[in-house]
Amino acid sequence: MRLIFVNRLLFIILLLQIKILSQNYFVEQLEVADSLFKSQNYFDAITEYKRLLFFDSSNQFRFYSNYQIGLCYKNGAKYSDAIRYFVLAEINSTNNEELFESKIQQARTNILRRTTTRAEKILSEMENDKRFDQHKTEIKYWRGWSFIFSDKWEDAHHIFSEIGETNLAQICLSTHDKLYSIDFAKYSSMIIPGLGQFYTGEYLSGLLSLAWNVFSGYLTITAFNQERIFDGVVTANLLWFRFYRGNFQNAEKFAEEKNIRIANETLFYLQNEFNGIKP
Amino acid sequence: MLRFFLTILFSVTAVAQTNPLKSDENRKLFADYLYCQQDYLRAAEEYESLSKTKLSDTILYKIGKSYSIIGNTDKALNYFSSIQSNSSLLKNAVLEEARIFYITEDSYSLNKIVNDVDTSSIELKKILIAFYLKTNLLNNVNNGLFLFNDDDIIRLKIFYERRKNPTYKSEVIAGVLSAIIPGSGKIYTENYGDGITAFILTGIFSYLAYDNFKHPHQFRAYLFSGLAAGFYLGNIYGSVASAQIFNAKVDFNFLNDLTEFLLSKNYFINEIDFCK
Repeated sequence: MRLIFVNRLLFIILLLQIKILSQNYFVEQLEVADSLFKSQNYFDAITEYKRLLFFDSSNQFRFYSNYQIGLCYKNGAKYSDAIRYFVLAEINSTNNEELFESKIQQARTNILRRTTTRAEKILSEMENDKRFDQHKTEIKYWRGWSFIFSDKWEDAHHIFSEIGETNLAQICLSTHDKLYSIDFAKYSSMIIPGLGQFYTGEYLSGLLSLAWNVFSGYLTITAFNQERIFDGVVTANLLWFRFYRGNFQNAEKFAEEKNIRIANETLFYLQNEFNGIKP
Repeated sequence: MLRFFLTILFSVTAVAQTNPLKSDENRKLFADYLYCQQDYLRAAEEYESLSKTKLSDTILYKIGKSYSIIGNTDKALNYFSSIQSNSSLLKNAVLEEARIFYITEDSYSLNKIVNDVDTSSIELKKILIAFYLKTNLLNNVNNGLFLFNDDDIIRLKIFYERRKNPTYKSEVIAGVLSAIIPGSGKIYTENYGDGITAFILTGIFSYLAYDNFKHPHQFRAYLFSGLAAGFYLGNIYGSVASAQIFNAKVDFNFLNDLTEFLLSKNYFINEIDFCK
C-alpha cells in the first residue's frame, strides 16, 4: 500500500517536472527574444517572438509577444505591420492595462504614420471609454501630438496647456506664430499682385509678378482705349489673366512651402532635442 | 522501480539542456508556418539553419522560392541549382531559374538552360520567346520556337506581330505636319486637345500680328508676332516630342501587356501549393 502511494507521488512529481520544464523553455525563449529586443536587433527579436507565439499553445505569452512584435516593427518604421500586431495584442489583452497599452500604441503608430485621422478616432474612442478614466491626461497628451503631426499647432498648444505640458505648449504656440497665413498670401495677391509674395519674403518674385501684371494690364487697357476690342480681349485672356492667376497661385504656393519648412524645423527639433515621451 | 524513475528523471533533465523549440523538427515546423504566412526571409533563414541532413529537395526548393520572391536572386539560383537531378521538383526549379534569368535579362544563362539543360521543355521555350520579345531581339525568334501551337503560343505570336509592326508615329512627319499646319502634328500623334489649342492660338496671334502691322500699332504687332512665332516653333518642337512620347507609350504598353500575360500564366510554372 505504501509502495503504491510512493509510486504515485513520484509519478506526479515527474509530470510536474515535465510541465515546469516546458514552461521554462517558453520563459527561456522569451528571455532570448527580450534580449534581442533590448540590443535593438529587431529582425531577430521578431523571429523569436513569433517562434514563441507559434509554440505557446497555452496562449500565455500571446499578448506580450504580439505587443513586442508591434514595438519591433514600429522601431523599424514598418508602421502598418506594427499596427497589425498591436491590434492582435489588443485582441489578446487580458486586463484593462494591456488593452490600454495596445490601443495607445496603435494611436501613437498612426501618428507616426501620419494617419492622424485614424489616431484621433482611436483616441476619441479611448476618451469615451470609462475603463480608461485614469488615463485621460495621457490620452490628451497623444491627442496633442496628433495635432502636431496634422499641422494643427494652435489646437496642440491648447491641449498641452490644458494638461500642464508647458514646454510643448510653448513650442506649438511659437510654431503657430511663425506660420504664414495661406489665405492672406492668396487674397492679398488678388488685390495687389505681388503683395502675397512680399508677405512670404519672396521679394524678387513679388516684383516680377507686379511688373508682368502692370505690363499686361497696360496692354489690355490701351487696346480697349484704341477701340481694338479683339486685341484687348485676347491680351486680357491670354496674357493678363494668365499672369494674374499665376500671381496669386504662386503666392499661395510660397506660403504653403514656407509653412512646411517651419513645421519641419519644429518636428526636427522635437525629434532631436525634446526629451519628453514621443510617439 | 527506482532505477526506472531515475532514468526518466535523468533523460528529462538531459533534454532540458537543449531548447526543444530549436530542434530540427520544430525549426522545420516553424519555418513551414513562416513560409505560409509569406514571411519569406525568416522562413528561408529558419530552413537554412536546419542541419544539412534535413535539407530535402522540397526544403531547398522552398528556400530558393523564398529568396526568389524577396528578390535575392543570387541566393535563389544557388538553391534552385542544388536540387537533385532525379527530384520531382527539378522541372519547377529549372523554370524558376528561367524566370529569374528572364527578369534579370541574363540572355546567356537563359539560352544555356533552354539549349543545354532541358531541350524538350515547351515552357522554357515559351519563356525564351517572351524574353526575345521583351528585349526586342526578334531575329532570334525563329520558326523552331513557334513549332507548338497551344493557346500560349498563339498569344505569343500575337505579341510577336505587335512587336514586329509597332504602331509608331514618325517624328519627322509630326514635325513637318506642324510646320505646314500648326497643331496637325499633334493631331497626328493623337494628341487632339493640344493640336486644336495650338492651331487656334497660333492662328489668333498671327492674325493679330498681321492686323496690327496693317494698322500702325507697331508695339502690339511685334508683341503678337513674337507670341505667334513662339507658339509656331514651340508647336513644331512639341509635335516631335509628342511623337517620341507616343512611341515610348507603345513600347511601354507592349511590355506591360507582355508582363501581365506572363504573370497571369505564372511564367508557365505550375505552382506547388505547400500550404494546403
